Amino acid sequence: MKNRLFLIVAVLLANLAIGSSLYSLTTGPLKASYLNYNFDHLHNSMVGGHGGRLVNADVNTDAGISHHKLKDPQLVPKAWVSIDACTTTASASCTVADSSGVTSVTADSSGNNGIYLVTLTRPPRRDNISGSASVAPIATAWGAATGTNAIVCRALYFPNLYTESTVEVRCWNQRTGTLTDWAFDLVVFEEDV
Amino acid sequence: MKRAFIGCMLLSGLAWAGALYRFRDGTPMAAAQVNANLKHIHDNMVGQHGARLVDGDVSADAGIAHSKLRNQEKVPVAWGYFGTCITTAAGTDCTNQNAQGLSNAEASPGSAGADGYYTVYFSSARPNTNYAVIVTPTGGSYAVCYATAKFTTYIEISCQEVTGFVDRAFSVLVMDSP
Repeated sequence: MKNRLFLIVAVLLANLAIGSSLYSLTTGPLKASYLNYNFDHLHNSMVGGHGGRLVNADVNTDAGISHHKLKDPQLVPKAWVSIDACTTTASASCTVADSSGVTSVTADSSGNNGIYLVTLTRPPRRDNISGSASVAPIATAWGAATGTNAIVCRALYFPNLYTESTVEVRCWNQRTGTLTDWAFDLVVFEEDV
Repeated sequence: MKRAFIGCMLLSGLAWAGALYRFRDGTPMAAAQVNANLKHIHDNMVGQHGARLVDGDVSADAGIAHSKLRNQEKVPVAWGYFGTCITTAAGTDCTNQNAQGLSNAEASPGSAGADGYYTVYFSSARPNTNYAVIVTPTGGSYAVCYATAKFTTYIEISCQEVTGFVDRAFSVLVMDSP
């Protein structure tokens, strides 16, 4: 009976042996020291319920840990885009250098100079309530100024309903106030829920 | 019966202490003792058994790489605050700096003595120039600051008012794909 128990334990533990640091148990009399060694190795090395053991090397390269599992996930931008150029043709696509969380960037539907619509991959999780906006878009122009006239780009409107996922960006001449086609970069933060 | 009693006592003890039972050579090993140890490990350790990992399990010095996050490109690759940039001489470092992923900012070498021209250097070169850079003045009135040109190793930035280029403190945020 005792030998059968030892055998079961040995086979069970042998199956658990996933690392070279474990002693490979064999059939036959089981030494307590070997068993203790293996238990100690698992208990003292593995992560969970025993303090802050997890280090970078424990995390798979392709782990893909979701941002919402981080503390304060709202500190991670939800979207950004770098625009190289936009034309004034109504609803024409802008030239996107790179982006994340953005589906498209187009000139506005009326073909105005300097007005662009940035469509986010998804709408905000909740609507903007007066005094408690859930989305913060930040935009700036980029590119050398023409003469001494700087171009200013700002995100003027932002999603205010669950179903709205468009940020409007406007660029204008700082000196004249004239809407002007220009390259811009945009970052969007959102209060995640 | 006796063994079962010992096993129950052992299990309750383990549950309270969170410790492993120590086996001794020459002493009969009860299945309950082995099971208790296995159960303790199985029920506490992380991996393939649901979302058990909590903040307390992560080492304070873990330093988990951003590349292991989902959509790592949404984590800024650089930011900086450059509090005092006076372009008295080309290549003069801005002072009162605080930055990550950016080594320093200086008066633009190509615009010696001219106000409002700066070069901000990356700590490590970017793979291309497709990154997004948000720039804003952090002091003074009426000025705007913006990137005038993007390079893999640095960004050229200017600050100006309607009356011309001016020296301003500014902040920078850079987003990029890996």
